[in-house]
Amino acid sequence: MDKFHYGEMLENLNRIERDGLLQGRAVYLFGHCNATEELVDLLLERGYRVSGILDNNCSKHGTLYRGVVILPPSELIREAPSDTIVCIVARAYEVMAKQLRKLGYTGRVEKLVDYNSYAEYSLSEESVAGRQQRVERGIGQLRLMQAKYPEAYRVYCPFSALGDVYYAMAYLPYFLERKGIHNYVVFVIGRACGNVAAMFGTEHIEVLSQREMDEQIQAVLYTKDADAYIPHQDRPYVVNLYKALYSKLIPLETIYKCGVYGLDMACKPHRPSSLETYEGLEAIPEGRAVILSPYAKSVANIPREYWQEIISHYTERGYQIFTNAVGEEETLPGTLRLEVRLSQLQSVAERAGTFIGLRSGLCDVIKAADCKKIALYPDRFYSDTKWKMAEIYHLEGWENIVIPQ
Amino acid sequence: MDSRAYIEKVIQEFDIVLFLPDGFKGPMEQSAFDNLALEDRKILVLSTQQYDFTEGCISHRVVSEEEAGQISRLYYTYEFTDNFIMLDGSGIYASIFDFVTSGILSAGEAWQALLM
Repeated sequence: MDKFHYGEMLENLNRIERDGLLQGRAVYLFGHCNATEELVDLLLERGYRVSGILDNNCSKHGTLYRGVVILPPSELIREAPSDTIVCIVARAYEVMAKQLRKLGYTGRVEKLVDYNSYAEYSLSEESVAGRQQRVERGIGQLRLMQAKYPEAYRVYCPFSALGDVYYAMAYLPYFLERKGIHNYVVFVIGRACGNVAAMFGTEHIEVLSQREMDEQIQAVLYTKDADAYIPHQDRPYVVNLYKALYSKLIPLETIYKCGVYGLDMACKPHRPSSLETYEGLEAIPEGRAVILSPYAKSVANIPREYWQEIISHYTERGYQIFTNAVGEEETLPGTLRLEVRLSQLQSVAERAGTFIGLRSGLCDVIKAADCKKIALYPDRFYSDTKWKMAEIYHLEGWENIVIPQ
Repeated sequence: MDSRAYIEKVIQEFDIVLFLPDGFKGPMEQSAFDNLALEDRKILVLSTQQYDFTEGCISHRVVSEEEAGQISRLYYTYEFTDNFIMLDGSGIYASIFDFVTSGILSAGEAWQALLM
């Protein structure tokens, strides 16, 4: 779960705790996914007992997460509604709440995270009118972009994730070539994603806020804009590509290559063409350093003790260890801090000789680096699928290690 | 038809409403729907074309071009529910059926995943 939504979950958990809604009740969660596991962690830390995780996927029933059993939703009805509360941090709150009511559950159902600016689960005249105003705002922004980039094809990367933008850019040239497009502009959210797009030599990049992106994309959909494309596997709500994972394990890169862009499996990704060399390379012992990347926006952290073991292991062998960090991210004890631009990270990893990172989009940014590369995965499922994160995000040419809970 | 009122009614009544306007070019042959494990899900298919579904849990209604236009505009205005799926082959974004075209999924696997 990304930091923003984690903060929202925390705030809402504090609220329902303050309102006395958890004490003395059997706490159930609905929808087994990463976010739900993070909520279990929080509740257990606070001394609550979680009675179960409800989930419609029968292949998960009877399995455990930290001693909490995964159950069919119908099990909830065995309890008196006044003695229970159901908390939902999974995406499909509305359909889950509806399912519980259909089962006859009359107890409390709390939504702890609101993921989705596209959604308003109401068809009232007021809701439709309000949403039409949002579309109009988006159309206004579209017109501005069309004026700024006349006759340019527009590519919208709808989610602020480095890895998603990386894969979108790596296979985009084939898509554009097939369509005979030479004049295009890429829209991303945030400066870091803009830097990833720039690494591929993209001439025209527009950095938007999440709200601007969502409103422009809504306008693209509403106007059925034939000069735009949204290369993503599950955003916005109209995209159903990710549902293929309910039937089959498909690694993320394949989802982009064959799903998002409809390319052949044999197709090779384009590599970044505009990388930079870090100006402070001489401070990194060549081949005798390790770059650690312990932070990720949307991936659960692994225990600090694990990083300490890594640091001890390499320090004893005479390596200099660096923590790749930005802003308020802490430098791991026993290491030196390194803050480099994304476009410079490959030069740093190759100079050091070893890169060890929590599997995140940063690993995608340097996936072609010529050095020893290790990706660490928390032992969690990918979203609400039955596949583990290590299976979906597996990196060829890397050592992929799953860290037990 | 008042599309807003109609959609409001059917999304309450059915677990999934699947809307197939004219642009949909995905696999609709009967074999793609054989042996789907839909359990007790109630599914409504709205389309501008006539289809014959032999799966008992799938209901079907043909809508006019005008009705389809109204529904499509509403769908692209915002996400009013998460159990309404429109497949129109717009070309603005990818679809699960692109995996069928590339051979990664069979038609049945795609429908199973979509309707779960």
